[in-house]
Amino acid sequence: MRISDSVGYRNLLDNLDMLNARLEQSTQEVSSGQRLSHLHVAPADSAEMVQLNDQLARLDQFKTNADSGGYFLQVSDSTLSTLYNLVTSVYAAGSAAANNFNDANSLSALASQIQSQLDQILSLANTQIEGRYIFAGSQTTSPAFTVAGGIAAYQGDNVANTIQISDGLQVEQNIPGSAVFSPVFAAVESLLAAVQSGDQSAIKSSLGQFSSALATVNQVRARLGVNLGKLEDAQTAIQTQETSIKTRQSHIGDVDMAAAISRLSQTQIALQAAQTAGALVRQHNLFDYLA
Amino acid sequence: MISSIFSSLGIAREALYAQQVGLDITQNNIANVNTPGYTRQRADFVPGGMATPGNLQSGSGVQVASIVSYRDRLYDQRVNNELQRQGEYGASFSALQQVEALFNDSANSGLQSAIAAFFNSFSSLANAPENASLREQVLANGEQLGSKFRQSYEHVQEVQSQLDREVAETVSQINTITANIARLNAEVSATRGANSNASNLEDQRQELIDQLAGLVDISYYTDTGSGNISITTRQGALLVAGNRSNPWQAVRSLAGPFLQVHDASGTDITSAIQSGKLGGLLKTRDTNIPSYLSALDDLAAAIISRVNAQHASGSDLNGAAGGDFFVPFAPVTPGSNQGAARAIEVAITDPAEIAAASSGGGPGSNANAQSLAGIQNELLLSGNTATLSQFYSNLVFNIGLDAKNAGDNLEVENRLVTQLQNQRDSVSGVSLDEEAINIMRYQKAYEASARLISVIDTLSDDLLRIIGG
Repeated sequence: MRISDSVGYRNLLDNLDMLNARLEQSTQEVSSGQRLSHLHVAPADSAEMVQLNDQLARLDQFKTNADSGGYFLQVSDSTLSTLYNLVTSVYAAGSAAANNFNDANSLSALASQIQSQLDQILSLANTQIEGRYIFAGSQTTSPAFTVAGGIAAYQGDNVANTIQISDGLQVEQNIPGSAVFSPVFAAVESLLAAVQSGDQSAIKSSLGQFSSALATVNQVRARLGVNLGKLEDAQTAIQTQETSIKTRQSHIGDVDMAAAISRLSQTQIALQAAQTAGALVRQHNLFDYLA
Repeated sequence: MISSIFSSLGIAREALYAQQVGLDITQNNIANVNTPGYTRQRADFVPGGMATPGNLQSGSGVQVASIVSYRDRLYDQRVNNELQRQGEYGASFSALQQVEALFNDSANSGLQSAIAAFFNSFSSLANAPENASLREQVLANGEQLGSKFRQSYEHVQEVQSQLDREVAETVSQINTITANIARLNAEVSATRGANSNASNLEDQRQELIDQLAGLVDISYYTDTGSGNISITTRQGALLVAGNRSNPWQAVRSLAGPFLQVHDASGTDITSAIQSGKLGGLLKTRDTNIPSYLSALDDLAAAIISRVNAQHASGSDLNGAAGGDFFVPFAPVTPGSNQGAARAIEVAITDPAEIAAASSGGGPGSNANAQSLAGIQNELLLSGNTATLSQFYSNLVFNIGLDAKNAGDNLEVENRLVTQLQNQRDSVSGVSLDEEAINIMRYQKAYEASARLISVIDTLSDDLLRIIGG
């Protein structure tokens, strides 16, 4: 092919342009470490990145939910554990009161002990987390139980919230207090009344209510334990998922540094060679040799 | 007739003249080595007529028959075709690159992260529905979502308006070029009519036609008689006929927000423009970008209506039924979501009015907040086949793909144009080495002819001496 001068210059310019563009691209890759600096580099990967980011945000939210729910459940569980011990100790006081040899003084001492324990139970029933009454169902802004005429009455409702801890998995967050506290209040209040009146048969019959009240507390605690277990499992699962999503993100989004750096230096060498060759080749023509 | 010593002098004079012309042309070629569009020329020499001295025939020297250009019209046409596509893809790619930058969520700061943050804030609210700061957070994220939508939408529209401005500029460039081509047509036919060399004018004209092809898809033909080139778009809209150009106008019409292209008679020829820079600008402005904007509108409209519906089915902190969370979208055109992405705005100002509770539930009920958070898993779009984030990532994919296609095509066209220009230049371009050889050739021939004159001079001196002797 006949080579005119413009062909030589155009090819040189084109090659330099192309190499400069590649150098720019490689430099950007190496300096940012990012492969998907533009959507057009890999549209499908960029679109996948959007979904992966979305999933990560979701997982992050599940983690927040599990943390918050875990705290809620732990506070509930430790409250019920304290409740169980208190009720057991009330039962012991009741058993002591059921002894025929008690005089009026010791009965009155036992009665005031039970009264103070009843106050503690009320305070447990009205446990708050950040101002929320956790045993009040959805009526969290007012106390779960209020006492009128020595009788505690449930003010809440039976709404049990759930929290989302993974796609499609929800865990009960709160225990409406009615089911667990009402039998306890009933047993303790009737025992207190019996001890105060010194009615032995009433003391004995009210002690009979304790076993089912305690069994309810235990059942609820067992349920809380199961839910706490679900949260822990979910947190482990979230971490595993998070790791695999981040691995995938780094796979499609990160530059292969070794390859990018070697591409960069290759391009640099090619560019230098093209510049040198261009300068050499275009240095002379036949006019240099005409006298 | 008898050959005379002076007829030899005539032959030598013709020869000197011819070599002189050869040198002139060489000089012209060298001078234009860097002139874009210049086609190298050569002098075609032919032997002079036969002289018949007695019974002996000898030639009567050399004549310059014509000066011709090494023009290859086939290459001109092919370069021209590829320039049209190069212009088209170049315009598209540059606009789409601006669009794609707005949708690159790899930094996780774009619209998708705002959507996720908004719905996840309902999930956070579900952990403590009566919590005032979590409620504030929902409102803040809702406002952030609205502002991201507006931002994305307006940025894309800004690119669209910029394309619109470029349409006007390109039309005026086209008019300048076609006017110059028409003027050159007149000059070429006048020069040809005077039997002169119109090569330089034709080169200029061809260069302008190449420039024009970069701007708009054209087809042209040369009238062999007059040498005039007539140009129309591929769809037949007239640009140049003889010495007259048909100036176009970029006209703002009532039919739409954007400029239309009208020809000199006022006919709308916008849809007749298919390629070149103008074609690329129009396609991106009228096809690509509207599809992105309408996807954003659909996304926003789906969020507004679904969130409002779910919000209405719950109770707020005061036990009242949920009102509109977002300002309901009032379609400008019935049945169309156009403008929703710009209109999305939180309607609630009091955080207590967020309906996190199930209907009739107490302040601690979170059922509706859960349902609101769950909207991001619902198949709301693309005929109930895509979630919000799937729909959005599909939009990201489409924008990336459009940009990639334009970029890939542009790269191919760049290479094709270079290759074809090289091929054309291998015929038409100036080679300095070749011209150096031509100089030597003409110089040697000139020297030889001059030498001949000096020989004839000596001979005639001899004759005169004899006569005078």
